[in-house]
This record gives sequence, C-alpha cells and structure tokens, in this order.
Amino acid sequence: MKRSWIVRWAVLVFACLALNTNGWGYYFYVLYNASNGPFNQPVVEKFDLNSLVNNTVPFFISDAGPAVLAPGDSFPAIIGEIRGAAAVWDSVSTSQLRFAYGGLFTVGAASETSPGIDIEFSDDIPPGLIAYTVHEVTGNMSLGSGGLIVPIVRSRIYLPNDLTQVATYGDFPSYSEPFFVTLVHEFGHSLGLQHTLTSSVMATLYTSAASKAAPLGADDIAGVSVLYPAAKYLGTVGSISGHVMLGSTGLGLASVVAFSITSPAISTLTNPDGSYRMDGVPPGQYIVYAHPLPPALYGESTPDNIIYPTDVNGNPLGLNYNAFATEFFTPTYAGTSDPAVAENYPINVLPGLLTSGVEFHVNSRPFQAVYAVRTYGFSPTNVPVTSPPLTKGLATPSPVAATGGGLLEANNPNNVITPGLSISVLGTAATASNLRAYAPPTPYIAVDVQVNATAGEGPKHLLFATPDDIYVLPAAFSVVVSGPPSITSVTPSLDANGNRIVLIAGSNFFPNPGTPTAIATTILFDGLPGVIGGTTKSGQLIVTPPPGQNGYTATVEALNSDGQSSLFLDPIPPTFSYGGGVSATPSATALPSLTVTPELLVAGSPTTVDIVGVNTFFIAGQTLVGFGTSDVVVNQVTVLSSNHLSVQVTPNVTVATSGINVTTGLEVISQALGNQITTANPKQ
Amino acid sequence: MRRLLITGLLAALGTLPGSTLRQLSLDDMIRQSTMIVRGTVLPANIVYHGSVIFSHYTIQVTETYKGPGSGQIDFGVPGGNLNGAIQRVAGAPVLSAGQDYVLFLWTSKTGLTQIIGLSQGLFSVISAPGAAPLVVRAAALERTLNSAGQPVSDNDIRMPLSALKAEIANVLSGQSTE
Repeated sequence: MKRSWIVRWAVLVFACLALNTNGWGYYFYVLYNASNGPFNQPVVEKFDLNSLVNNTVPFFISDAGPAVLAPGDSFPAIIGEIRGAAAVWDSVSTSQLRFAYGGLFTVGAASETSPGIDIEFSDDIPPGLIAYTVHEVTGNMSLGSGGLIVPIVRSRIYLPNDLTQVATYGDFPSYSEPFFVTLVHEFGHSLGLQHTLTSSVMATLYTSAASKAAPLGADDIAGVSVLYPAAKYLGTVGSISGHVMLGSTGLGLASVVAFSITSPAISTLTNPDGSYRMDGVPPGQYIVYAHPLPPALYGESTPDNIIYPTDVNGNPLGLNYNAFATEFFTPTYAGTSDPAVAENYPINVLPGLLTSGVEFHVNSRPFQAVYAVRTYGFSPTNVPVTSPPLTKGLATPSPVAATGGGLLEANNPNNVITPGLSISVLGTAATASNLRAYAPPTPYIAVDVQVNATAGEGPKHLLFATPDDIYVLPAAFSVVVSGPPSITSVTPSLDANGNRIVLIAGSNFFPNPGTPTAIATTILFDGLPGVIGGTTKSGQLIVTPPPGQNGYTATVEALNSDGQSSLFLDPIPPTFSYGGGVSATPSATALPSLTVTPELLVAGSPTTVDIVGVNTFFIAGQTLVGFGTSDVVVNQVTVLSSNHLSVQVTPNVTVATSGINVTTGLEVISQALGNQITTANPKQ
Repeated sequence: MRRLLITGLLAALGTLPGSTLRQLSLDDMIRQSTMIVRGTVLPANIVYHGSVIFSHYTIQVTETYKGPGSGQIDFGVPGGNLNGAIQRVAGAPVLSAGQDYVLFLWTSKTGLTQIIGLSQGLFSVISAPGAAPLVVRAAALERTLNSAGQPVSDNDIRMPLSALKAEIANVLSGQSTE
C-alpha cells in the first residue's frame, strides 16, 4: 500500500525548485510586497552577500570585555568560545556564508559602513534576560544575493557585562553548555533566523535539544543554507508545499513539520494566506504534520517570540492566526492523529524537486492541549541533561523527565497528570512506560524509556497524546552507543621535537571516526580545538593544544559528535596550564608587544602592513589579524617568522593601525589595550 | 535524589533563550525590580542607548507598589525605527497608548529603566464595570479569537489586582510562601 501510494503521489512532484525563490523553511524575518497578497513572494532580511568580501561576514568582540567574569574564567576564554560559536555556523558547507574573526573593537569608536556582527557586553540587560540580538536594517528592499531582500547592515549580540550575576545561573562561565549554546543561538538571530519549534538551536530553550557537542539541528542547517545557499545546494534538496486551512480560511503562522522516524525534523511557518513552502529538505521519505504555534508563554511578547511578518511599510498583516488540533498529513486531507496511519502516507522528497499539494484541513481548538515540552535525563553522575542521550542495550529503562504546558492538570497544586495523556516513542527504537508525575511543587512528569538493543543512533521523537489532540516533540531524546566522554587527567608534555602536547586520559574517546563508529571526539581548550595526533599505548589521547602564552590556564573539555560532553559527567572541567613545568617550542614568557607600520591606512588604498612582534609566536594559518572594523578587509596574513607578519589589507575608510589586534590561538595581543589580554577586564 | 535534582533543574535550566530569556517567577520579579507601578502609558521618544535603539514610553503613575516611582516615569523597550535604521528584538513588547498597566521596572547601572525580562514584567490591567480589576500578562491580549469568536486562553498569569498587590506586599515584607 505504501509503495502504490508513493507512486500516485509522485505525479504531483514537478521540477521547479532551482529557479523558484518564493519559499523557504524554518523561519526568517519576513515582509511581503503586498498587504493583501498574494503572499508568494516573501522578502527576507539577510546579509547581502554582494556587499561582503568573499561571502564572509566579519565579527568583532568588544575590547571592554565583560567587567566581571565567572571564577577562573578569562577574556581570551570568552573570545575562544565566541569564535567557537561562530565556527559552528561557518562549518555549514551547504551555506556559502563564511565567518571571519575581525578582532577586538571599541564600542562607538567607528561608524561602520560595511556589514558585520558585533558582540558587546552590556549593563543594560534586565533581569530575566540572558542575552539578546539586534539586527539592523534600513527597511529598504534591494536586489541582493538570491533576489529581492532587505539587507542586514549590522547585527549586534549583547551579553551580560557581569558574568557572575546572570539570570538563573549566577556564575556563567564561558566553558559551560548554556553559554555556548546561547552564543550559537544568538549568532543564528544575527544571520536572519527566527525561532522554530523543532528542537534545533533556533528553538527557544523551551524545546531546544541543542548541546555544545552537537549544537545545530537539521532545521538550523536547512535554514541557514536556504538563506545563503551554496552553489548547487538547492539542486541537492527538495521542497514540500501546500496549505493549512481552517474551513475556507488559510491560517497564517501555522507550523508545518517534516520528519521521519529515524531523522530529525525540519519545519516552516505558513504565509498569511495559509500557504507554505518548505525548502532545503534532504531527499527521503517524510511524515508531515501541522500544528499551531504554542500560546505566547510567560515572558514572550508573541507566540514563540516570533516577530510577525509585515508589509513593506512595516505595517502588520492580517495573519488569521488561530489554534487548531495538530494532525498528520493524509492524502484525503482529512488528517490523522495516529502516527501509524501517517506512516502509510510518507511524502517522498526528491533532489531539486517540489512536492506540492501537501494540504491540511484542520479543526479549531482554543489552544494546544500540550505544548512547549522540554525533556531532561540524567548522566551516569546524575548531572541533568536536556534531550538526554540514552545508551542502547541497557538492561533497565532510563527515566526521562518532561515539563511543559498541558502535561499536568491546570490549577491543581497536587501535580495530577492531565486525564487521558499518554506518551509514546515514535517508531520502534524504544518504548515509554510508567508515566508518572513528580511530587509537588515540581511541575514535572516522567516516563521510563527502554531503548531497544537494535535501535539506530540519533534523535528520537516523542508523541504526547490526549483524547482530542497530539503533540510531537522532535528529538526528545537521542540514542547513543556509549556514555559521555570522561577526562580523568590532563598532563603537559613534549613531543620528540620539543613541541607542546597534552596527554589526556579518560574514557569514551573516539579519536578515529569510523573505527568502529562515526563518532568523533574533539578536545577543546577554552573553546578552541586541539589537534588529536593519536593515542599512547595506555590509551591516552595525544593532543596538540592551540597556541597559548606560558602561564596561561585553559579549561579542557571533550566533546563527542553524538552530542555528549565531558561536562555531562563533571560540570567543572579540568584545566591545562601552558608551561606547566615543561618548556615547549614555540614559547614565550614575557609580555608581547607589536610595532606596526604604517600608522595610517588610507581609504581605497590597498596596503601592506608590516608587524614586528616581541615575545610573540606567530604561526601560519593560526595567526589572525584584525583592525576592529569591518571597513578594513584583511585579505592575507603572511607569517614571515614567529615575530614578523606581513598583512595585505584593503581599507574602505581611513583608519589608524593603532587599533590592530593579533590573535594566535589563545594569545590575544591588542595594541590599543596594552597588548597581552589575560584578565577579566583588560582596562584594569 | 533525582527528585532533588529535578527541583534543581527548575532553577538551573528553566530558561527561555530567544532573545535568551529566563523565566522569572512573580516573586523574582518583585524582588529584582527597582520599581513596581501602575499607570497609563504614552509613547515618548526613540533614542539610541549605545548602539541600540530604544523606544521610550512614559507611564503616568497612579499607584506605586515598590520603589520611588511617582508622577511620570520614563522607561525604554529595545527596538524601534530611528533615522532610517530599523532594529527589532524578539520578545520586546509593543505597548498600547492609554492602556492601564502594572509594570515591573528595573534601572540599570547606566540609569536606563526597562521592563524586567522584556515582556515578563508587563501586565495589563483589565477593568470591567462592577468587577474587581484583573491583571493579565500582556501577551495574552495579543492572541486572536478562535473560530467561535472566543478569546484564546491558556495558563496565563491572570489574577485580581488586589491579589497581586498583596503578593507584592508579602514579598517585600519577607512573608512570601513561594
């Protein structure tokens, strides 16, 4: 039956994607050319690649740094983690947008004329807010990369200036999971991505399954890739389109989600007339469902804190937003709440092709029966972990806790499970049983999840069913083959050539992806990856750390690509001290300094900047040079020696070179701030 | 043990990034605000604070529940249009002129006064003839009607204004049971 239906459905597939730009997936900042439709030409806010050199958006970090850091933290560590978060988006090969660290900048010192992203530290972030992003546009549409767009002229990410007084967390160390995931999330906003509801990093934390080890979900990757598609990307993925209708009225801002039992979810929101088109869907078979946005939760100004689409003048549109009962697609358009039925009607997505006619005719509800659910589990050392990794083959089931709207009876202080609520795992990878509520006042429920020994690895989805509605939580947990990586010791050493290495002992390391699993281990030093060169006979990892000044101390974390981190076992990571009793090459102990010529860069004049350092260890490929402004494009950095650089730049404005900063690994040299930066506040 | 841990989760992980928000309890807001006032709001001006455009409002204070607030108080909400530049912040509320609000305000070290938690400290006061005034989280007003023409509702904060005032008084006197 399934096969015949696919054949029938295939007739609705036609090739049109490559030249069609009227769709998207995920959710962008959108406006429409016409107030009353048609709404088939959304205009999105994004960086105009035509205004970027080499499709590269530079990002800058305020040289003021945070005024107060968490104990043991440092400004170079903050810089390392920010660079790591940018590298997450930079690594998406299906997006042609690249990132370049442009160094430190002084807030207000320059009036930028070129696009870029600034990271600032603010005293004006009120309680209840951890970070936020502002992207600035002029409102004027222009013909940019990919058609008509509203160009982002500047994005700014604001982090707390006091990282010991952060809402919820108190101390907010840079190595922590929430610090990093927050950064990745805010970078996503800076590029033009809004919130989604599919457990990706761009979800609000209500449903986010993102982790430091695996921050991006399929929805994030599709989102940035559709916004900034790499060459030929759109020919490698497919699209799904249709409508969400309530009677004869199209519903705006309905969420349409495509997923399979064994793969993560991708979603989009409907246009004001109820039409939708989801691009960037990897080829395969998908179950598709439509659900309403959750009610605006406490602290949200709109559902999911979505900024609603407007017309070109910024006026709000009639969205026809309404809640409805969630349903899976069926070809009769009647929909079903039974995933087993939905599995019989998968949508077949082919590369470069659009599958149209995936229509929903939904039934009104006052609001979703269940919404905004988040799951938690516990690591072997009882550290709580969101969207928990569950090891397959265990003899006993693992408890998974959940919190969210509709799980418990409203206005009942006794924590009574909503009558008729059931929870099940979609597919056969695992089973859920023993639904129960936590004792008051903790508003959580829990189920025991038994993962089958033959289950495939990766994210798994939970179905929450009530007598008259369903709720799907994509990536509610993931199946893994081993526990989180563990670091038991960090030992400084030297290799045969006298170069600094670190021997890292522990367990669940996978230094050789593919043997036997695809899992890869990364070792981070203050957010920057070391290079794993092999293992000792006793199984210790041999790691070359990123360069750092003697005396510098970095936190050390192990991340596995299955989403697990050594922080799952011990939230306070071990440290590595550069130097540490061994004398490595390269090495420098005294404070570095720079001599830079010329002193002035003249607008429009490509210039070679000569940099001579004292107590520096410049390294080809690792030394970065910035002038603190996106109006000076650094074209090439040539390392002539460990203390001599030649840098080719193109200034768009006339600036002094005194704002230069040079970064090699974890060594940050800022001429303007007095060179080596190691303290919480470089101005102190 | 795990019950204790899950209780800890509420404190450790109950956050809502977006603009990355952390859900504040009512008592959190009462304690962390510098002023809690009731009054009607009028738009004032739009200015830059550093690199951020803030839309400023003036609240004509009719009641003060915490802090020195009286007369007219200026506060800002991030985002706005100024000199051709448009900045938008997810989660930043848009206030309605003339609407009666209870605001939980917070003044930063720089002297900028804002609503706590973007929208979290913003409550509309709903008064109906013959009924005691209610305070409702403002976002609830932005939702649409269902197909039957009835307001969509959920588990919003919705309580009599008198109950909110009593809770504020209890917290400030150290008698809160939350």
